[in-house]
Amino acid sequence: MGRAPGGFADSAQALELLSAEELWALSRTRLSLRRARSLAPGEHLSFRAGASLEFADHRPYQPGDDLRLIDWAVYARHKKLVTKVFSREVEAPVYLLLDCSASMGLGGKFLFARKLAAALLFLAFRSGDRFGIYPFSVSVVGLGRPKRGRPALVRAFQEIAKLSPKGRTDLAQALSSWAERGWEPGLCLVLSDFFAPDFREGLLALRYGRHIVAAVQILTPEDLSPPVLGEVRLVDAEEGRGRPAVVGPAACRAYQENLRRWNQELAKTCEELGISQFLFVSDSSPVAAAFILARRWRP
Amino acid sequence: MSFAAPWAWLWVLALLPVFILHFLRKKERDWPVSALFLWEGVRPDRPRFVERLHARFDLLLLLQVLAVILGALALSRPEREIVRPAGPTLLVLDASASMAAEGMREKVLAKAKNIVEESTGPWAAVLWAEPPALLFPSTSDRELVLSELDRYGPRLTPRPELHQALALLPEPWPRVVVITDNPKGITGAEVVAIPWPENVGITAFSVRPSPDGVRYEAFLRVVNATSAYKDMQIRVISEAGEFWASRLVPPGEEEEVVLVLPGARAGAFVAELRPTDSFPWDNVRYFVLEGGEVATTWLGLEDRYLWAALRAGVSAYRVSENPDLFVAVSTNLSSEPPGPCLLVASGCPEAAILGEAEAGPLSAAPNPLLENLSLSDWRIGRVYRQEVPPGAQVLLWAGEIPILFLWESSGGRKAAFAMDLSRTNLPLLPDFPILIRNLLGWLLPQRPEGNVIVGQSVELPPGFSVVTELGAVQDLWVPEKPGIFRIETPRGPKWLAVNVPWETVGPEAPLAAEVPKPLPAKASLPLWPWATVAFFFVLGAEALVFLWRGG
Repeated sequence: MGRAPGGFADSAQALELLSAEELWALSRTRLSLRRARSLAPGEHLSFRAGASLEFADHRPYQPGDDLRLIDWAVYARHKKLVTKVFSREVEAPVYLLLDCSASMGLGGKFLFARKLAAALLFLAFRSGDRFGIYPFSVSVVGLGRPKRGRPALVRAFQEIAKLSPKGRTDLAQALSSWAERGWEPGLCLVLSDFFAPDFREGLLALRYGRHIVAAVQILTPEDLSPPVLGEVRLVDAEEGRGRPAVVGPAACRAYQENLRRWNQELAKTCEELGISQFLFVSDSSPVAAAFILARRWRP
Repeated sequence: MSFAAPWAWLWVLALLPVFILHFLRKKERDWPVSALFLWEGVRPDRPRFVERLHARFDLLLLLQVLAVILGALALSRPEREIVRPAGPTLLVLDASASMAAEGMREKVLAKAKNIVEESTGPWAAVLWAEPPALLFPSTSDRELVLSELDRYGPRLTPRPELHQALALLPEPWPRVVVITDNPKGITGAEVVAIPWPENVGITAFSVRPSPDGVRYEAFLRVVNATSAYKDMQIRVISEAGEFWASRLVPPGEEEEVVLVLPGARAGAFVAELRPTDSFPWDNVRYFVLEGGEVATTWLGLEDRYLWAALRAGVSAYRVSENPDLFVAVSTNLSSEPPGPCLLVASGCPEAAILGEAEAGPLSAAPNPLLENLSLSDWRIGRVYRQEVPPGAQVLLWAGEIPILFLWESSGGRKAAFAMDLSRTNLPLLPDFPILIRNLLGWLLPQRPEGNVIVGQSVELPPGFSVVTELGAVQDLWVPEKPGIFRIETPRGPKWLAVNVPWETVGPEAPLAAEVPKPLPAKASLPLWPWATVAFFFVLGAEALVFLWRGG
């Protein structure tokens, strides 16, 4: 296996985010964007007509069209002048909104989210897109504009490596305040466990900003299937309050039913808002999760 | 071990801080969750018993409590009784009549020798029978003991109280083993019970003249102390011949048999039981009627009330010569009768009648012969003034006139009633036969009894002797075996019956539930050192667990 592309593998490995092998594997895939709202030229093929090399369609010739675009083969066959239309390659800034609340610190969720964020940033870097990492809990911490290029990626990695989970989550306030900044529409990925009651307002704010949004939910195996704990005091990781409980099989089943309804509500909201939803478990591979996102997310 | 040990209880108080510290330290586990609101409304599970036990189980607390308990146990200085080979052993061998059954001696010796073999000695042995005897004194020579035990042999006497046998060796013996067939009432000793064989026997036998005086009747009680019906043949032998009876006696039952003996005369009677069994001494019983009768020579007027009173007191019968007793009624005797004499309104040379007088109020001297009499009921009309011999003892006065006095002369004892019985209500009172019986007991003090038991001393009056296998015995004789013995008296031969008392034979085998369990030789083994070692071991284990959990 060769050296990791990009020349920043040392930084990534030093920050214990991605290994050389993971970077090498990621370098062969990319995020694709079909409905980018951006007008800046880039490497994402747009449904809009443009001047790329990717053939899109024919249309009847209109006076003023470039004669080089007339399809002479069609004219020879049908005696009609048609003009070839090519796709337009546009740019899609990638915004990574990373939940850094205390609840993400349980069960390796934050470690998973950090690595997934790094992998996604790397994909954006490889696509030549601008990217930015925006950690949030109650509010978004960094509000720098997205940038492209290797220095920006290294800085982003450094910033990710310094993050630690703390505080409580306020999805509505954090995402709304971020969206109000008027960012250029782009790919907006929210990495969170979405254990916040007001996630709908936050996601809606992102959609109002004309972003293409993906809700990436990260849960631990214990979140999905809590163990039989017996007599314990359940403590909320963010708020610190607790309640005594006897967690047995029946209580676990009741909790799982509550979680199922909660995720059902999240899925319903995402469907209504046209948001893609993904669920990953923290004990899986973050790079594999990045591949899944790259392949299945078709904005 | 004593739970009254104060230090042990003080140590148990250490449980209090152990529990307090445990509950101060013990808290519910905190389990952080991402979203507590998802747990809202979840009904708490009722944990299963094992899970609850597991949740509450704390090895440290268990070890601490165990250490405290072991410490308290050590402070209470527990001891355990263990069986160890016995040391000094006193053997008490029942040698009473019941042990004379066939095979019993061998069983006793086997048990005794087994005890000697299993103990370390020294040993001593006493025979528990009447009278108790020392079989051999304290010795540590096992061979000597085993040989001396062979001298054991049961007697035909009853057994006294156990402490009387133990008094032969007054020094304290840590282990006393009683080998007997009847362990009832034995306390404070180890008991080895020998089962008694099944038995049939005659439990009682007596003969009496019929009320009309023309024949005799034999009364017997036979017992069947076996587990099967027994057809018992009873034979009574008298001088007139043999008389037979037969009874089918159920197991465990006792039946009475009455045999009419026509033509029999007073004398010796033998009752035999067929078939015999392993204990022959109760299969044959002896009875002598002659020794209990009083040959009486009547002088003077007849008095049927007096005769009835005599017959009520003793078995009196009339003879003309060699009587046991003279009775003189309303007569003056010219010479002193050569024997005991009862004078009623009669005089004799020593106590002549002087005349008649009106009776004064009765008064009595304190004397055992007047016990159980109600003098206030007596009505006496006239009395006789009678000469009171020197040395006579006056029992009753009517005013100042002695009306009943006793004295002894060379011819025998005399008693005089100085009143005419027909002028008193005395013959009609219950006091009359009682008084006559008491007077006869004083007048005939040295009459040997006709029926005794083995081991009972028989006092023979002067001129009396008993004929035994070893020759004639005088003064005092202790029969050693049952049978009919001939007694030579100045007035001719008489008979004496000697029996083995039925009570000593043991009519029934001892109940297993009543047999005291053997008390094996025991010694105390102190357990507190082990408890102390266990205490420190558990304490060390607790410390290791504490350190293993991270302190």
